[in-house]
Amino acid sequence: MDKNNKTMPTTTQSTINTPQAVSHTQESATREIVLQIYRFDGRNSRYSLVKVTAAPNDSLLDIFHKVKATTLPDFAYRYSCRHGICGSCAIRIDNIPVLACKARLRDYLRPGTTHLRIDPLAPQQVLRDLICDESSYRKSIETIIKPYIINFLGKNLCPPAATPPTKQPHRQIEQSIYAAASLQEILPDPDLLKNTEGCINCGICYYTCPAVVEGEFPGPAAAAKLFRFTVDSRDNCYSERLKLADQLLWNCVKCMKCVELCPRGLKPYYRIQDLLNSAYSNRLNEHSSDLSHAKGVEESIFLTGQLNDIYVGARTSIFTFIKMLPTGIKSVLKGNYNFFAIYKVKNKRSIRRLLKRGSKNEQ
Amino acid sequence: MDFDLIIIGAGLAGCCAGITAAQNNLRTAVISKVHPLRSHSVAAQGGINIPIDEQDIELHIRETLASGSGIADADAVSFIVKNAQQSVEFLQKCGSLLQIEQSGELARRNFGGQKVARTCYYKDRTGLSLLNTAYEQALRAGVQFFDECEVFDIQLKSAENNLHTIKTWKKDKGKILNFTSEFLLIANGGYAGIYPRNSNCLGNIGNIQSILFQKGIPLIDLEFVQFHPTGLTRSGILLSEAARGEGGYLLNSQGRRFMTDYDERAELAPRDIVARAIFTEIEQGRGVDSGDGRKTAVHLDLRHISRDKILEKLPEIYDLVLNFTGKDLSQELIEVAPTAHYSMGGLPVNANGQVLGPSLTPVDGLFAAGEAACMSLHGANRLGGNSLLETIVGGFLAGSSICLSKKKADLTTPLLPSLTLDRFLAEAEKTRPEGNGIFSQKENCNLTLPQLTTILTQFPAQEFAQIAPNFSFIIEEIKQSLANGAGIFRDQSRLADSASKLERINASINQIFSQLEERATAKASTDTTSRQSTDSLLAQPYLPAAQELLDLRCHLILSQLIIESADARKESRAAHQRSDFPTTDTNFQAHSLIYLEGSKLMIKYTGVNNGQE
Ligand SMILES: Cc1cc2nc3c(=O)[nH]c(=O)nc-3n(C[C@H](O)[C@H](O)[C@H](O)COP(=O)(O)OP(=O)(O)OC[C@H]3O[C@@H](n4cnc5c(N)ncnc54)[C@H](O)[C@@H]3O)c2cc1C
Ligand code: SF4
Ligand code: SF4
Ligand code: FES
Repeated sequence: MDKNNKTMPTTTQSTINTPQAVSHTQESATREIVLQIYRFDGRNSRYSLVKVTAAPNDSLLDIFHKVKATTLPDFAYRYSCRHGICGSCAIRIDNIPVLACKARLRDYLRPGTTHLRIDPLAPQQVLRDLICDESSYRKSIETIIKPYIINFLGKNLCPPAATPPTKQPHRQIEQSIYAAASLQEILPDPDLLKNTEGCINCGICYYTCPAVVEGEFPGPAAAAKLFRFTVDSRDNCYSERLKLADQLLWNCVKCMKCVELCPRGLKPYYRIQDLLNSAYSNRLNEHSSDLSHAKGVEESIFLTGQLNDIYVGARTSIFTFIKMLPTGIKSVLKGNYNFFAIYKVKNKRSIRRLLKRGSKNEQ
Repeated sequence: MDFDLIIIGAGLAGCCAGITAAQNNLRTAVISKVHPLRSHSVAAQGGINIPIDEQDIELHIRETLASGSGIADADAVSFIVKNAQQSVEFLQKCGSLLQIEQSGELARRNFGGQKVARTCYYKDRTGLSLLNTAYEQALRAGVQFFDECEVFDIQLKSAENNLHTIKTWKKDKGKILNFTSEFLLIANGGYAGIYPRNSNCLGNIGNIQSILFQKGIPLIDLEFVQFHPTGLTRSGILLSEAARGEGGYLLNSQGRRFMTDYDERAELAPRDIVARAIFTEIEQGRGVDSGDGRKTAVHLDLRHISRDKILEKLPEIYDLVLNFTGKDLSQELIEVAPTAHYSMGGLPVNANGQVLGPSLTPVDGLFAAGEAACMSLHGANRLGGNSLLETIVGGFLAGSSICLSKKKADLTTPLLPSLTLDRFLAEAEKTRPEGNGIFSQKENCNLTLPQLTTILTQFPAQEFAQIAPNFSFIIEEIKQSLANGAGIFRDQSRLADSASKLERINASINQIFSQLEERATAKASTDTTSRQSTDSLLAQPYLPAAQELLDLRCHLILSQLIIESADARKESRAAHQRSDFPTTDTNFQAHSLIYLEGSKLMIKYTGVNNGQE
């Protein structure tokens, strides 16, 4: 794709007349707006400037149809259900990712302006105009997290269940009773799913998450999906899934974009925290240095109200501590680390309170 | 690419069939023009009918037959109803979330046309939950999915070639992908999307039905299109029947609950009755302003239901209304009007889900399921909540039949879910009852559009943009003619008007296509270097012009077939209402079968299996 052309948009101009006479109430409400629409024909990219009359209650998708019917017959955009349930139509309005079929003009036109810029959701992967290649998003879910219930039904029987982890949110069902089990016995409490089953795979969170790296951090939607299967009593791979969460999800930078932008109100960030908390508490009885380090940080703050490097170091691993000792002594001698500059924390009680509150699940 | 089984369509029907086939080690591929989770099934809100207990099976069958108004086949109905519980339970054990009551029973809500609450649901995202599960389990079972891959041509098995060939446009790559397979299952959904105001997804326009029709495969009961009574006026987007199931009223311009004048079940009468009642209210001047100054709507009233209940039971509908009209459902009246919603007709199949040819014998290796097929569960009118059931049971059935025909003998692993197939399979060979002898034919119908494939695969895209007309306007025109002729009420003169208009369009399109084809072949023969034109229409990713050509075909074909079928049926029956033949005629208690014989368009009728042995 030619990204250089992006700054030099050529312009297609035209005026659109309202096709039919409209009633008075509507007439006062409709207005002429200018859309600056990203176009890509397989070789060159540019912006088309289009004038169109629209009512405040029109969806962007309605407006696209109008533009296509009257001005840009070769304008390409994805949509299908037209009511926010299939996740096909994600685009950006003035760089805010939205579902075109749900976004109303009234909510995006700033007072006093008549201009909106329309861009594809994933500018790096455009196939044509507003249509993007979503394969990286699909891969993040379909090839990485085993997005299906794995249990005793079907030919690919699940691996023998590992020792049940300590804090499993549901009880595991024995193979022998599964096939005959009544629905009540096996169904998860829907509240446990925290709406994660409602994801429509629009890709908005994936393409705006700053932490996504293909092959490393699979992004918010994949994480939410993973969460969905860890709380489902019909799934038999709880511990494997937590391990996967532990491997994949620490790179989230907690920017909360996914919470803010998800059109289905899914809050993937909190589900990542849930998963990591579960993974963390499942490993509490393991001996690993990163875990001891994390515990050390927590204890240090609890005891002293601040990060005490010596304490954390010693707590992490005594070998590492001894290994690092010469470096530590050198930095003290050079004055990079000053014992006496550590001041006493006065209000330890409230810091402890904060710590306790924070460690209770966030949402 | 070669597979044992190719499934066209990744909705509930396609995915369910895929689960069964792949679990039995058939090399299975599912082709879909959108990502599977964007199939239309995802949009089903209201729910799925499952008989409450053994006793209810009888009533469920009876109510389905009653709604079918004489042309639902009793054997199909009882097969589907009897297999409902175990089919759905299978999905329910591996991921779907139909709600359960404290007692452990599935929670159920009221749906139109049914005296008892039988419709199971997950909030109002029933389709989303079921489709996710079916897709997930198909992935798990090892089905290969090819999405954004639109089928544009099919060569069925023949004496020379013992495999089906399926040609597809891989839209995101701008490539042509060809598949071959021993078995082909059609699960591409319905065709109600060819109406101008409809509740369907973009892709529900009956592509495969039209392609197969062109190859001589018949279509059955096309004239029966269900109009859903409550679409939002502007877009046709659906407000699920759940809104009335939970107690919503319909009011006319006088603020009166008019449904009680038409049917004792009032708002919960079957859909066709409600849709016609609304239409009649509007015709007689008791409509309310639909937002464009014309009085073409009625009001849906849920104000008497508590906000909490609405938010708990109908969250999706609440959001939908708020978002699309800016109104608060629990406080304000909503304007609604009928919208084209479901196609009862489709590819005729026998008891195994195998497609039947014009002489009603099964076509080798060709199966159909879901809304694309007509198992004749719905007859002349579908009961709300029965179609999701049909997609699931029909999908599993087709998958099982294909496994059984592939392996001939018994299977090593039991089919999952294990349907009670035995009796059914044995009866499949039984021929259908005789029809009424009514027969019609029309000479010289140029419905095959043989030029299309050449244009798509050889015409240079650059040049096409310069010379081809804007086909989207023609599609719009076709949609309008269809709605004028075969809307909620039909009559001779409207049908004839539309028919002649569509014929004119058909003739001019044939002409345009022939010119385009000529140019394409002339071009191809001059520059021999680029015979495999890399600049052809289908070699471009997501080219709108190519899409329009493909959409044009099914609009053109199906709308003419619907008009012809509606014209031939000179009676009124459930979803098919003729103002010039207002009564039901027992001579027409039969399925209409429309097919091509050379250039002749044939319509004949075949009898209904009404359960009497
Ligand atoms: C708004 C709405 C609400 C509904 N609510 C209910 C309800 O509450 N209860 C109920 O029982 N029923 C309901 N229905 C009906 C029900 O949803 C459908 O009948 C059912 O989903 C059809 O499923 P299917 O598997 O047959 O096909 P679909 O789900 O329609 O899938 C069709 C598939 O075929 C593919 N396809 C189509 N053409 C091609 C092509 N040329 N090449 C490749 N692939 C192709 C598509 O990509 C798609 O994957 C509702 C319908 C609508 C419109
Ligand atoms: S909070 Fe985490 S997952 Fe969500 S967008 Fe930010 S980095 Fe990505
Ligand atoms: S989590 Fe939300 S934003 Fe992300 S894909 Fe799903 S619906 Fe879209
Ligand atoms: S078109 Fe389906 S979500 Fe917008």
